Amino acid sequence: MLYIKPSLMDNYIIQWMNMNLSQSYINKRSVLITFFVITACTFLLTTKAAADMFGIFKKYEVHLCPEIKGQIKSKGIAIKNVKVFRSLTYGDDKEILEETVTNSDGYYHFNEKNIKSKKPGSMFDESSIRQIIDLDYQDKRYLLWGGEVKEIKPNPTITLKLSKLDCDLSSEEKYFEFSDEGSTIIGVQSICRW
Amino acid sequence: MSIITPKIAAQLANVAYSVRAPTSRGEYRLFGKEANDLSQHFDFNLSQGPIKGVSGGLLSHLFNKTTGFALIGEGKGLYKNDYVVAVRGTASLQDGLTDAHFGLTGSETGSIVHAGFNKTFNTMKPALKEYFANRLAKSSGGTIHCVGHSLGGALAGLTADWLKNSYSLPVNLYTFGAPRVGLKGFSSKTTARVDNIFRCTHGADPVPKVPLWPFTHAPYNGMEYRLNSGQGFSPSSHKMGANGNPGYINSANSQDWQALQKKSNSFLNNSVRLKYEARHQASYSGYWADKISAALVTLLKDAGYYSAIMAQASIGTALTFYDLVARTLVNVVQASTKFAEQTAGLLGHMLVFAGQGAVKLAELNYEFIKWVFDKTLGVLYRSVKTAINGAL
Repeated sequence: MLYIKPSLMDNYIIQWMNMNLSQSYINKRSVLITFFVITACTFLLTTKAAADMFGIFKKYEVHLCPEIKGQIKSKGIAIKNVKVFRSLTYGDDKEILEETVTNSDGYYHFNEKNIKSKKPGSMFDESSIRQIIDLDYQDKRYLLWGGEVKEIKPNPTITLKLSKLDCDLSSEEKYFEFSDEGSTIIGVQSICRW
Repeated sequence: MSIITPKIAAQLANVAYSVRAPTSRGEYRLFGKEANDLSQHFDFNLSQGPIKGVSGGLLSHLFNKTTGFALIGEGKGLYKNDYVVAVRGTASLQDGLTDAHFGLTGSETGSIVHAGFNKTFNTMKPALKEYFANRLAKSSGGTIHCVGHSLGGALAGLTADWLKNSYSLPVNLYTFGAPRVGLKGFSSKTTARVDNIFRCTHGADPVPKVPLWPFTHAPYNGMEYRLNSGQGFSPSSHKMGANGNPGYINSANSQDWQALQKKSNSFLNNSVRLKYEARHQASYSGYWADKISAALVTLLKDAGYYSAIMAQASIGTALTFYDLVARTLVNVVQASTKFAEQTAGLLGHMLVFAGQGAVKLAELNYEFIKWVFDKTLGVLYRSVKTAINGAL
């Protein structure tokens, strides 16, 4: 193993500082600052390593929303150029708001959204994900999807439903329950029909 | 007076975590299955956002960082005229749980409680006051149900105590995995004051085991609803939601409190005297944590130091509380052979609890007694801390 004897290293530092001390006051100060910065960095790096070991700084992949595909119609006619909004909020994090516009056939699309977070590592964390997809059309608000998800991993049922988020604005907003193979029941408020 | 079912209480405690500020597009409704189930019994108006509070350390208080803390609902149907206050926990309050230099303060109702919990409660109080001041004046005798999980359970406990003291109507408290909130005085007074207390725990949830004595749970008789029979300590057993093991939302899924298992660790009201020879019966568990606390209380009472110690605890000293206890035990040992033997019995059990069973009892001086206390508290706080900070 390659290492410098502590006493030897001290000598180097002293020699180096003496060299600098003979120069101007500013140099002396900059040497001291450099010395402290190096010490501080070393300290921070070692504590970071220790913290990593105990999982305090570990970041987890949090799946906020799968890819969304759908078509907007009103009384059977595709609606083009209407803005669709997706609002995602994880726990107390800042809301992530995105928007897209329907094409000439009324189709719209959002990419999958994932973030990294330290939160799932804490025993006290009970964060859930609020997913809201809506649009405004002729002065009226329409809710395409209003859900609250506790899982941070993709859920096959939600992925399937959001891959076909088609709606007719003349449909009434209703509460839906979907169950997957597991015991989880997903409750969603929506004007869409599957 | 009405009582909400275990299932509804657990759903409320869980839904409190999904309460947030309205979105930037002005949406404030609660979504998901639980919110939908609860909407059959309660109306939540969140157009103004939830009841805010400030938690955390000096920095959060300096910048007045408020976050949503409580959800208030108005009952309908079966729960007409009732109100629910569901409070959520916050990770920033966790430091107060395992701090040996715990801070104490006077509560709203004049008892000694945890300073950190009370500080956070005080930031929520004005909003609660504003909400209830108008409504309860014209109330026609409904019940207020206060609900909370984890540190939210501690805040719900302070809320229930304050509401009952301020307004003369029935108040019930329902907690899941909540820590201890105050000393004996608070515990006994709030037990008498609040109409019904449903304290739910899991066997392996470490949070209800802290802070240690002199903190005391309410109800004062030690009664709790033990929703599963876990052993040891496991962080996932503290979880409320479906991602926990078992998750309070699952273990409390019942329509009837009678159907759930009641358990009473009445140690704190009974005398516990331990014999040194029998020390190997002790083990590292929540059961022995409670029993050792009770043996310490009994010893201090037997030797006539209990009141003095409690008075000191209430004032708060520069020394940590357990340092004071160790100093007192030196006097207890010197008082008589009988007390010296009882002290040896206690310390022997503490050593086995702390995994130091091989250590022989030395001279019962301050240094040795302090060392035994440090080992015992250290091992318990360490496992709670590991549970708190550890991965799932």
